[in-house]
Amino acid sequence: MESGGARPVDDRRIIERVLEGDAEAFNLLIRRWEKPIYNFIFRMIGDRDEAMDLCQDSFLKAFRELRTLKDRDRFSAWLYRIAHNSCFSMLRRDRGKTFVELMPDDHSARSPIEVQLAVEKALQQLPEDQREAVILKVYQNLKFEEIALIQDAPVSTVKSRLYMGFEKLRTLLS
Amino acid sequence: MSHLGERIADYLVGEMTKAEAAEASEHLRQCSDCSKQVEAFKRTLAMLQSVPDREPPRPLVFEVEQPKPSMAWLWRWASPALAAVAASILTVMLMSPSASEPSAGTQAWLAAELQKRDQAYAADIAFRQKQELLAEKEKLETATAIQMLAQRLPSGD
Repeated sequence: MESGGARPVDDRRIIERVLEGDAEAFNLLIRRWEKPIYNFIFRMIGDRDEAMDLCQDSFLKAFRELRTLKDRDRFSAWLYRIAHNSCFSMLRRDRGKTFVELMPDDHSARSPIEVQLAVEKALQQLPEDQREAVILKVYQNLKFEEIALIQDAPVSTVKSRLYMGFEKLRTLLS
Repeated sequence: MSHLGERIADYLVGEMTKAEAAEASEHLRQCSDCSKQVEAFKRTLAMLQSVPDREPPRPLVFEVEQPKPSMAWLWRWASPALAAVAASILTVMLMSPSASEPSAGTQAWLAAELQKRDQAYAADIAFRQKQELLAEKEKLETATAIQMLAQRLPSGD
């Protein structure tokens, strides 16, 4: 599991280099955050290729708007916010689409790949806000305050979403 | 203490204070409903955490357009030098103590040298102009590509 905690000094130093004109240094940030951001987006939208496109768009937008980042020690939360916006734009656009069932609801002993598919399918059945709260907490290991900033919601709301997400997943995966 | 309710999620992910966690643990020792729910949530959490991150299907690499080194620097260096050489040749000729007409052989040699230099200058000029055109073309292509990418981006944060 990727830790969501930023490495404030390292990220800050790289950001300063980029802003001083060393644009290639941005690749260091990409290498560090590419996998967590990709997995966050993939778990949100459930499509590998779309997730890759949105991941690329998110980093491109981050590069273009790097100067607007107020707190250079919180680059990761800012980047997640950009990825969050990309995801929700896409989800709003694709609302109403029918998704094909990929596997039967057989709850007998599952292989690891079946567990993976079952979890990914179950996540897709959560309301988007609850799905995001679960993903950011369980997989990205962000603090409630960080998730609240990304979702632009109070901490109490985030906790509520997490609880309801867990409750629904418990039913779907039991 | 009342039932944990939604605070079960806080307890499970370790985001309670020490005092809150101690109080919750004490409650769980006494409340079978809450402890059953915590156990069920723990199994769900374990299943979620058993799923590893996926590798992105392709790596992301950010490439910065580097301007190609132009030959302009060579021209800027060479042309004053060449001009100085030509001028010095001419000066030597004019200042020569033997002010008499140079021999035919010398004249032919000088004409050939001057022609060679003219051709070299013309080649340098043509090369420089070609490099500048290539650089302009690359700039336009890059600007178009950036514009197309920008149109794909969602607006606003």
